[in-house]
Amino acid sequence: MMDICEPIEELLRELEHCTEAALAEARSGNVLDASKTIEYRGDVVRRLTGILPASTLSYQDWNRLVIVHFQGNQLADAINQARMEAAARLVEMSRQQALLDCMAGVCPSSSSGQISETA
Amino acid sequence: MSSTSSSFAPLQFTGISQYSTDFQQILTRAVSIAQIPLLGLTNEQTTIDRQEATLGNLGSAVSNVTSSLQQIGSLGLGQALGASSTNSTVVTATATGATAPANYSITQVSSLATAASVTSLASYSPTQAVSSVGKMQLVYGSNTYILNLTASNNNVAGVAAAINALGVGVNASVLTPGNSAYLAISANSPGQTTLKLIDNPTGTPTEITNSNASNQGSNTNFYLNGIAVSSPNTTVNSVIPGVTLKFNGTTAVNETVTVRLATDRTQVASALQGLVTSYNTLKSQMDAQFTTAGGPLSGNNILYQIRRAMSSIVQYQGSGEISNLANVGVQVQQNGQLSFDQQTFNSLSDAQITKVMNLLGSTTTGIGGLQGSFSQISAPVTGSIATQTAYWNDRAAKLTAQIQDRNSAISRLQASINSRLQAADASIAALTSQQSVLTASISSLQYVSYGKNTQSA
Repeated sequence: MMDICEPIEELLRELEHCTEAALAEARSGNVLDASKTIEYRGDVVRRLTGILPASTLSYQDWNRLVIVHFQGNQLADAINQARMEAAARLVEMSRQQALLDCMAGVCPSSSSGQISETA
Repeated sequence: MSSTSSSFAPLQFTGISQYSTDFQQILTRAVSIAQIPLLGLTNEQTTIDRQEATLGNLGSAVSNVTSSLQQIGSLGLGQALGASSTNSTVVTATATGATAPANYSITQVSSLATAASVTSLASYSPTQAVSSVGKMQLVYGSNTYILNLTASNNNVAGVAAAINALGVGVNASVLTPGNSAYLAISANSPGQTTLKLIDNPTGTPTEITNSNASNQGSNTNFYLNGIAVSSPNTTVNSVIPGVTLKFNGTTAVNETVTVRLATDRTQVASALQGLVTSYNTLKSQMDAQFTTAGGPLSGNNILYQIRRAMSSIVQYQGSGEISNLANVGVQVQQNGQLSFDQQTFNSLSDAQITKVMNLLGSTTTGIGGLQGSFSQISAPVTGSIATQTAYWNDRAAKLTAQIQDRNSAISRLQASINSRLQAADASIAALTSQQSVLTASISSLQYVSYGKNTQSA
């Protein structure tokens, strides 16, 4: 194995670590912390690709790279899932706000004091 | 009435991922859909507003009936007395609280109250001294006032100003017929008195005004039921309790003017007509609540309270010959409204009119006493209407406060969620980029390791 593989091994280990951490944060709904971790992951990826050798990696590092890539797809799915849940929650909040405002007599579609059945 | 809460501003979402536009459309549609189930709630709010407005109008109508009944009660209590005079050119009379019919004779009205008014005996030029020594004395009634004059105001205008400055109830002015100037002094109030201006009061007093028996004011002098009365005013309200006499002229020789206190039929007729009018207005508003469709207040207990009170008027039955409203010309028509037959009322004899007073009663008896039932409904703070309105207002206020609190909480939560969405959107874009880099790295490593991309078909 070439001497340059050792820093690659550390970076790959670091990449695997932060990808797992971000995945755990995203799955628990902690989008803000996951976002920071993903940003750090991007830094590691840039450093890694800067020194990735043209020669063959060890099977361990190769597997690690593939797993990181696979977990990256899972992380994207988890972030998307958290995003949709937040979007749904926001929609629900908007409905509640519109409901309360109309109860108070401030309804954007009301001009005669009565709301029609059509939306 | 309901009050407004925070206005609704649709949340605008901006992002850098491909989903930003889609999400905004979803949000806008969600808000529109959210308004549909609000039909019942908003209509209920509108109903409350209409109920309050209707109740307000009803309250005014009830108050008017209350006032009509109170007026009737006051007339009954005071026998609806009115004062009249057989010669208004001599004296007019006004009933101001008399409680029993009576007749009074006024004779020998020999004078009317006039104010004292004197003029200087001599005329003066503008700069000519009025006082020989610079000191004068004003006599008004039993009081005397000293005027100390200087060279600057010892003239007709200065003396007039000095007299006015005393503020003792007289007015001094300068009369200028032709080129001469006379000092004129008049009392502000009528009545017999003493008014004159004296020069050098502490030396050789000399009156400079033309005071005489005819210009020292006069009282209104007359005989009331043979008793001599002298008043410093033409309006006399202290000799007959509850009656104000206004003297306008003197009597002829041997003339007797009679002031009569008697029940004033016109007052009673006017009060009855007033009751009919206010009752009918209330009846019309009440009928609008009892239609087939029902008014905004349908089912409200206040309506039944008002209806019972109205029934007590038309069904009132006292005792004696004049015992109900029909006896005085107030009839109930087929539609439930009242009418006032002036002819029936006019046909009542004087004796019957006296009995009408029993029917009218007072603020606690008779027809007038029925005002109590209406007062319970229309009283400003403690009445049924006020209580109901206060309840609705309180409910609306509490609801508004809860809505405001809830809206504030929702706004804070929306801001929090929005920040997560923004972070998720940025993260997705970053991940896409990172995955692309990793994919390229894996593909290049596969070429190196295997000579081909093992993942491509």
